[in-house]
Amino acid sequence: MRRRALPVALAVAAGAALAAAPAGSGATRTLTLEGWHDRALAFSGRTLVWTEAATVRVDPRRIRGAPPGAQRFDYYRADVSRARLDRASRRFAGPAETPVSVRTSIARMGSGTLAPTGDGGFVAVPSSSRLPPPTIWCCDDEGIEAVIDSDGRPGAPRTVAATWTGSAVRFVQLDAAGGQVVRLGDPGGGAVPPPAAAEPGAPDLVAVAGGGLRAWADPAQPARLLVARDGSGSPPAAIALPGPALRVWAAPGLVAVLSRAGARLAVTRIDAGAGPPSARRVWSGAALPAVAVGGGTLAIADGRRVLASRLGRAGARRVTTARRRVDAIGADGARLAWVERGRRKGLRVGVLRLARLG
Amino acid sequence: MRTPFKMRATVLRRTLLALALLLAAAGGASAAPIVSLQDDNLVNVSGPALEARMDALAATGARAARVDVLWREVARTRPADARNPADPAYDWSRYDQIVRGLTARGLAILLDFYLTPEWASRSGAAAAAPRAADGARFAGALARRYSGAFAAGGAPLPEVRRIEVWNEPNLPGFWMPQCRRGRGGKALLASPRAYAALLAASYREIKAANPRATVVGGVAGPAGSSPTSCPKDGRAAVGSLDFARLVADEGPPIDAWSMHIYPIGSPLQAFFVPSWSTLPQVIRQVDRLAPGAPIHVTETGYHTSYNRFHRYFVSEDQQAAWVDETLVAAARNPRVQLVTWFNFQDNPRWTGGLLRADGTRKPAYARFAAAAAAYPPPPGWAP
Repeated sequence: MRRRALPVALAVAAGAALAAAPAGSGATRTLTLEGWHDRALAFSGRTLVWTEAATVRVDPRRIRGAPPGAQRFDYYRADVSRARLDRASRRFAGPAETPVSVRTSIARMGSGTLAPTGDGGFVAVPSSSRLPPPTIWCCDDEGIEAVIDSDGRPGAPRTVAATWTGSAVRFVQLDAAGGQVVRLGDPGGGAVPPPAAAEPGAPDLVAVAGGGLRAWADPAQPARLLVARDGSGSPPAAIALPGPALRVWAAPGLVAVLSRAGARLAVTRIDAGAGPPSARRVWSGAALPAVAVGGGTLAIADGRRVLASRLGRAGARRVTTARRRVDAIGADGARLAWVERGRRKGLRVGVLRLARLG
Repeated sequence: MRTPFKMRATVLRRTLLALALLLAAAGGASAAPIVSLQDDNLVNVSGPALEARMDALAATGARAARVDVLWREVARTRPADARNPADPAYDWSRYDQIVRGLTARGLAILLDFYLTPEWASRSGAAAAAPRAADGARFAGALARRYSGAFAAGGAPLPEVRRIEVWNEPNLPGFWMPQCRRGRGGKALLASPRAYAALLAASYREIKAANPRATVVGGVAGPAGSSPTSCPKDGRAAVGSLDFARLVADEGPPIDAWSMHIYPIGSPLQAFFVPSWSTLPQVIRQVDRLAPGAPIHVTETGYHTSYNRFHRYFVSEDQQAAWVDETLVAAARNPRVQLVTWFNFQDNPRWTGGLLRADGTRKPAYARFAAAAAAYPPPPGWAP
C-alpha cells in the first residue's frame, strides 16, 4: 500500500490561510480566536482542547493571486486545536496548534463531541445532519491522529457519541433504523470486540463516558433519560425529565441533560457514580445555554453568566459574569474555560478565558 | 424511491454532462487529455491476483495506467552494474508481469520510480534524497529494460515510452530534506535543486537507453506555499509553483512536466495553488525549461471519507460529478496531455478510489468509464 505524505493534507496554502487564525503564543490569560464559530471545549491534562466548526467562504476578491474569473464558493471545516496551560491552569503556557482538521464540501459540520484522553489527547467527532462524520483519536507520540472510523458510503452509520476508556475509543453509532450500536476502536489498529446492538437513539441525545457510562433519550420517549453502565449487567435507570431532551452530555460519574420545561429550558444534573443515579434540576432559562461536564463539575453559560454545579453541592452557582456573551464552555473539576464574543478591529473574534472555582 | 421527475432530471443531467464531455473532447484533438488511472495496489500483488487487478483496471476503459516502480524493492542490494537491467541485484519480476499485462490489455504505461534503497540512502530512510548518479543509473536501467529491445524469460519485454522521475519530490514523505535552516531559521529550499540534478542525470540515462522515451519531470505534489522557516529536521513541503520555478532556475532537460492536483472545491471552481485554474502559472515556469512541453497531471481525485493523509473529502455523488468536471477542466487547457485519476480502489490510507475498499463501485466508476470512452487517445498514445 502506498504511503502518502502527511503534509499533503494541509498543503494548500490558501486553504490554510482561510482556516482559523492561529491563536496567540506565550503565557497569556486569554487566547483570541477568529470568528464566533461553533466551539466545544475540554481540559485534557494540562492542555485545553477545543473544536471549532465553521463554513469557509472562499472569495477570490479577498485572495491575492486568485485567477481572473474565479468564482466564490464555500466549504466546511471542523478543526481541533489545543494549547498547553500553566500549572494552575490560569494561563496559556504555549502557542495553540491544530493537530486535526476535517474539511469537506458535503455539508456544514458542528463542533460535536470532544472527549479528553489526558496529556493533551482527545477523541473528536464533528456533528452533521448530512454526513457521517469521522471519529478521530489524537494523537500518537509523533503527533499523528488515528482515524477510528470514517465511512463515506451513503447511509453509513453515524457516530453520535464517543469517549476514551483508557485504552480504546468507545463510540456510539446510529444505524439506518436509528438504533444505537456501541463500538470499540483501537487507535493502534488492534483487534476490537464486535459491536453491541442497543437501544434507539438520535443525534445529540446520546452521550458516553469512561467507566461504561452511557446516557440517552429514546426519541419515542424524549422526556425520559436512560442511564446505563454498559457491561454491568444491570438494566438502565430511567430519569424523568421536565420535558423532551434536547442534548445530553456525559463525563465519568456525571450526566447533564438540556430539556424543555414547559415554555422554558432546563438543565438537569444526574450524578451517576457507584450508587443509583440521582437527578436534580440545576438551571432553567429561556435561551439555549452552553453546557459542559468534567471532573464532577457541570458548567453552564447563560448569556454572559458563567455558572457551575459541583459534586455534592447545591444547584449551579454563579462563578463570574463575562464581558460579553459566552458561546462555549469547558469544565474539569475546579477548572473552567469559556469563549466569549469580542471584536478586534471591527472583526468578530472569540476570546478564550480561564478560571478556577474557589 | 426516485420519482419520475427525479429520474428525468437525472437523465437530463447525465445527457448534458455527456454532451459537455463530447464538446470538450471535440474542441480539438490536442485538447483531449488521455484518461489514465492508477491502481497503487498493483505492486502489492502478484500472480493471478495481479492479473485480476489488471483485468479490472482495463475494464474501466482507461487508456493509460500509471505504475509506481519501487526502486527500494527492485534493488534491495547495490547492483554491480547499475545501468544494466540484467544485473543480478535487480528483481523486476513483478514489473515485467505488470508491463506485459497492461500492454496486452491495450493500456499505455507511465512508470514513475521512487523510494531510495537503503544502500543509496544517506540516512537509510526510503524518503532520503538519493545521490543523483545512483538514481539516474536506475532510471537508465528501467528505461533500458522496457525499451522494447530487452528480453526476459525468452520473450521480449514491451516498450514503455513514458518515465516520470520520482514522485512528489517537493513533499517530505518522498524526499528529504526539503529545506535547510538559514540565518535565523529561515528556510533555504533544498529539494528543487537536488531534484533538478537527479532529473538532469536521469534524462541523460533514459535517453541513452531509449531515445524515444518521454522523460517527465516535476511530479510535484499538491503543496500550496513554501515554508518561511525550516524545521530542524527539514520536514516541510515546498509549494508546487515554487518548486517548478526553482527547478526551472536549474534548467534540467525535460520532455513533459507533471504535477498532482487535489483541489479543495470543485475542479471548475477551485483556485488555490495547485488547481486546474492555476495551471497557467505553472506552465509559465515549464516554458522556461521546454517551451510548449505538455503537462501531465499524473494524480488527481477526490476522497469520499476523511483519512489522515488527506483531510478534505466529498460525498460519493460529488466525487462522481467532479470526475466529469475534472476532465472538462483538463480539456480546457490544451497543454494538458494526460490526466490520471488516483486511485482505483480505496484503502485505509486513501479513499479517493472509484471502487470502495470492499470492491463495490462508487458512482464515480461509471462516470470515469464514460469519460474514458468520450476521450479517444490521440495518435501515438496507444501502446
